[in-house]
Amino acid sequence: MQATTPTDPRVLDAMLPFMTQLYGNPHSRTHQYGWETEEAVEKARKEVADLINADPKEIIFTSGATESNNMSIKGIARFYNKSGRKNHIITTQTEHKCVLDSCRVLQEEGFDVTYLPVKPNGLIDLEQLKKAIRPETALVSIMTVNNEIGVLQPIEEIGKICRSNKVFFHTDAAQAFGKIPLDVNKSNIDLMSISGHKIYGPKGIGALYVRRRPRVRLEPIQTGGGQERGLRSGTVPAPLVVGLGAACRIAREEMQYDSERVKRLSERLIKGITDQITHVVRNGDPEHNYPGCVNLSFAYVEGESLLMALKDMALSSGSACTSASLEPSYVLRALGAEDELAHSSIRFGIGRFTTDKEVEYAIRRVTQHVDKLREMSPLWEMVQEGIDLKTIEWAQH
Amino acid sequence: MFRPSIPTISSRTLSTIALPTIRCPHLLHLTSSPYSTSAQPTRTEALSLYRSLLRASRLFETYNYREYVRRRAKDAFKQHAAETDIQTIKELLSKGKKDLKVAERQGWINRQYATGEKTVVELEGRSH
Repeated sequence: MQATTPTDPRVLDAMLPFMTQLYGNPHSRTHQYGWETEEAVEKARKEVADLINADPKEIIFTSGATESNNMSIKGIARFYNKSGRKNHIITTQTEHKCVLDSCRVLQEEGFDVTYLPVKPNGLIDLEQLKKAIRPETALVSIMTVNNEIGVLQPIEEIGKICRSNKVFFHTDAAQAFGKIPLDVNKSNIDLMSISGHKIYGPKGIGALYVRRRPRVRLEPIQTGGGQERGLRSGTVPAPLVVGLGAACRIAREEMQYDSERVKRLSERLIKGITDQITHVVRNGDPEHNYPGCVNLSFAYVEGESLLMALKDMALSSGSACTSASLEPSYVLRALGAEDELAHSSIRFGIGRFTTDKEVEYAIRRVTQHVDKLREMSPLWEMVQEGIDLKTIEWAQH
Repeated sequence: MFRPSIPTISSRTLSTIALPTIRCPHLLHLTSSPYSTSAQPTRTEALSLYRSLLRASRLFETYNYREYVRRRAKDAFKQHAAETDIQTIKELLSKGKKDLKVAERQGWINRQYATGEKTVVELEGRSH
């Protein structure tokens, strides 16, 4: 449930009227079609805001977290560097590709970017962050929950550091929003990216939280009719927005039930697997973690073979964005994982609609196939005999 | 001897009118006291709502949605099983009825776009 989530039937139910009878443009001020749609859009805006203790006026609708990330990073950088004195950005090596790529584009425009490393458990070192901040730093961008390993960064502490240094703090909260409690004021967050299809909402919609007190300014990427406070012009897609609003309302009502359940299933999955097979590495800190994202590496097992064997389950090695490439995940590399372990990693997603039976099935099939693949592996045989593979001098043919 | 004029739901009646697949031990307390007639309508209502929700779950062809409706209904009724405040019960039932309408509509829609495919977990269950 990281690459995407199924659309909750209750979300579809809320959207359908706006794809059938209520087809008005929410920006049309002069007739009822417009008013009723506008009312629905504003109601949805409040639902998004309520989930993070923000004001509805601070929520801008976008096409998704990728757009929100682009908007916030490029927007802040370009607005505040007009004088040329705020040209430094700090982010981490484990951010989503759209964040890393936005930073790369800014580097080409002349910005200086610091990519903070992470500790082997996936968390950033707060001291390193403090040291990296300079008078020229305009923005710190650190994701709340990582999409590959589920690690939860110390958002409150990061917010405090940024606020005391008068640096804007942006967080990509796509995997955290609606799943764990978030408070933009308590955590001193200035910008937050939100994705609809990660919380059982429709694809193609997201939001960006932009703080108004103290005011955060952005140079818009998409300009035109001035919708969404001029920060993101374009007709707001009412059906999608209503869907996002419903998804937020449901997330708020179900957060406790869902999180307790996901935690239980996650613990069951990990215990079920580690009870039966050895040499399993959990990637990412086990405590500061969102339980719905479990990333395990199976030593002495070839990753692609394991994935093919498990192809009747929707799992991934790495992430959807990187699944086309043969390189091991850059997130796992950043943890310091060796290439072989990075190649043999599997990411399990557990969510609202995951059943107990599915978890039991996953445990059975994973342990079955890991055993089978290891039995075929001469490396595994050597390990069983107690040979340290690092001492072997491999002959050339 | 006083015979209550309002029909009560005894355990025997429950077993004959309930669908055979229901196991709802947390609702049995609703049938334990046949003489408190003032609370009777809400008990009947609650039982009826629960049965309707389980029926609605069967409309979904999609395994994960079907299981979710069943599971969520069961857990919600379990959670509020001991509720005694009449106003709260009325509000819960009212919300439940709204949710039922959504489940019935969406279950029907889900069926219209049925693919006929079953997930591996469903297929495994059948072969046992």
